[in-house]
Amino acid sequence: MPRILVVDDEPRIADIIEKYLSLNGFEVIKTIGGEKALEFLESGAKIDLMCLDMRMPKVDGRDIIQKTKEMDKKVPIILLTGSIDAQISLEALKDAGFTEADVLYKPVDLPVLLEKIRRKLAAV
Amino acid sequence: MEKELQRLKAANARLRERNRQLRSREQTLQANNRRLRANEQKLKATNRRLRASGQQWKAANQQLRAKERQLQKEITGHKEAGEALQQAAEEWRITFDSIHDLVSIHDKNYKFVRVNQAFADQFNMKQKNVIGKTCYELVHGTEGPPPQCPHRRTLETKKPQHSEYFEPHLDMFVEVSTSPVMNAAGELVATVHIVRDITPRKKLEQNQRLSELGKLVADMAHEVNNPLMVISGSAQLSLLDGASGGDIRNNLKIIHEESNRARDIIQRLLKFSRPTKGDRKGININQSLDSIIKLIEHQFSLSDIRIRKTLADGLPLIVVDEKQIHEVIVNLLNNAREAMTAGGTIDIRSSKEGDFLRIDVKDSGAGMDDETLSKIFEPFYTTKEKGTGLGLSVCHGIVSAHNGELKFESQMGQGTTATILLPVGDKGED
Ligand SMILES: Nc1ncnc2c1ncn2[C@@H]1O[C@H](COP(=O)(O)OP(=O)(O)OP(=O)(O)O)[C@@H](O)[C@H]1O
Ligand SMILES: [Mg+2]
Repeated sequence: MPRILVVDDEPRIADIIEKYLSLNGFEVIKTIGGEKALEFLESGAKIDLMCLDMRMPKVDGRDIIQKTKEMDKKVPIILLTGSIDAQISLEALKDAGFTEADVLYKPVDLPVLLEKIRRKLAAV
Repeated sequence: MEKELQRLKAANARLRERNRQLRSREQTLQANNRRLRANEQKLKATNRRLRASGQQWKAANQQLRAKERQLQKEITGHKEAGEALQQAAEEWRITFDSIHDLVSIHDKNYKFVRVNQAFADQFNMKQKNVIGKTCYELVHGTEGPPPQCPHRRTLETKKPQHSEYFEPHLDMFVEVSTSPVMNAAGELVATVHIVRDITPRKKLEQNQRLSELGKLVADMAHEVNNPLMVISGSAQLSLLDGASGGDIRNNLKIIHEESNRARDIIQRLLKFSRPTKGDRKGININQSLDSIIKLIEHQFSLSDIRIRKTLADGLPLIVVDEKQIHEVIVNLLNNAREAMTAGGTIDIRSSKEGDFLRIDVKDSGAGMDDETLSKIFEPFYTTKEKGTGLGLSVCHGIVSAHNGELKFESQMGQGTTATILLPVGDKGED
C-alpha cells in the first residue's frame, strides 16, 4: 500500500485529504504544519509521495522542498496552494524543477488529486 | 694880511660851495636811497606774492596729480568691474544651462523670456527660438493655460506654486514649480518655472502599488481558499457512496463554520480597505474599558490571564465611533492573550498625554523580534496557525481614521505594550 505524507497547517484540510485517500486504498500520514513535517522527514521514515501545502507559517512548502533535496530524498511531491504568488511560482516551481502540472489550487476536486497521485506514482 | 684874508675868504667860499654841492649830492643820494628802498619793498612784496602763488601752484599741482592717480585707479577699477560683470554673466549662463531640470523665465503673459539648454533640448529647439512663444502652446499644446497651470496661480497669489501631473503632450510625469520675480517696488515682473521629469519615480510608485495590490490579492485568495477547500472537501466526502448520516451531519457543521470564517475574513478585509467614518459621539473611555473588561474577563481567566486596570480620573471625552474603538481594544487584548500562553497579567491603562488620550495594553507574553514588529500592520501577516493577520491591519485603519496613532513596543521574551493615542474631543471634561 503506497504511503502518502499529507502536510497542511489546517487540520481540517489534512483530515479531508486523509479520509479521502484512505478510502481509496492509501496509507496516509498527516502532519499539521511544516515543523512536524520536517521532524517526520528527518526520522527517515519511508514515504512514496507527499501532498504539500505551500503556504504555512514558520516552515513553509519551500523549506520542505529544500530539505528533501538536502536529504537527497527523491520523493514525488504534489503542491497544494490557496494562492500562487510571484515568490512561490518563480523560486519553488521552476528552480526546484516543478511545473504547473505539479500544482493543485485549493479548493481541490478530490478525484483530480487522486488521479494526479496515481499518475505520479505510476511514473516512478 | 689882506691877501691872507682874501685867500681865506676865497677858501671859505669854496668850502661853502663844496658844502652846498655835498648837501645837494646828499639830497640826491637820499632821494635815490628812498627810491631804492621803495623799489626794494616793491620787490619784496612781489617776491612774497610770487612765493605765495608758487605755493598755491605746488598745492594745485599735487591735487592734480592725486586726481590723476585716482582717475587712473578708477579706470582700472571700471575695467575690472566690466570684466567681472561679464564673467558673472557668463558664470550665470553656464550654471543656468548646466541645470538638468527644465528652467524658464516668463513674462506675465506666459511668454518665454529665457530658457536653459535642457529646456531647449527637450523641445529640440534653439534657445533663442523659444523666446516669445507661450508656455501653454509649447508645453501643453493648448491655446490657453490649462487648469493645472501653476504660473497662473503665481500671478494671482504672487507666491511660489507647485503642481505634479501627467503631461500627455510630452508623455511625461512632471513636477512644476513657479516662483515670482519681483522688482524693487514689489511688483511681479516675471516668473521662473522649474519643470522636473518625475516619470521614472512615478512609474516605480505605480509598480509598487500594483505589486502591493498583487500581494494583497494573493494573500486574500489564500485566506479565502483555505475555508473554501474545507467546505468543498467536506461536501465531496458527504457525497461519497457509503457516507454515514453521522459523518454528513458533522461535515455540514464544518461547512457552516468554514463559511462563517470566509465571511469574517472578507468583512475584516472590507473594513481594512474602507474604514468608515462611522457613528461618532463623545464617549468616556474609562466606561468603555470597564464594559469591555467585564465582557471578556471570564474568558481570559480560563487561560489563566488576569486583567489589571489603572484608569486616570477626570479624563476628557473622546469623539469616536464607539464600536470601532471597542474592536481595536478587543483585538489588542486578544493578541495579548494569544502571546501569553502560560498565563499572566495584562495591564490596561488610560491617561492623558497632551492633546491626546492614551490607552496602553501591556502584556508579559512572548514579545516580538524586530522583523515581526515591522510587519504587524501588513494585512494577512500572522505568525499564528489560526490567525488571519488582519487584526492589527484593521486596528491601524480605525485608529488612523480617528486621526490617532497606534504604536507598539516589544521585547522578545519580555512582553509587548500596545499604545493607542486618540485626539481629545472638544466637549470638555466628563
Ligand atoms: N501582543 C503581542 N505579542 C506578541 N506578538 C504580537 C502581539 N500582537 C501582535 N503580534 C504579532 O503580530 C501578528 C499580527 O497580529 P494581528 O492581530 O494583525 O493578526 P493575528 O493576531 O495573527 O491574527 P488575527 O488577529 O486575525 O487573529 C501576530 O501574528 C503576532 O505575530
Ligand atoms: Mg490578532
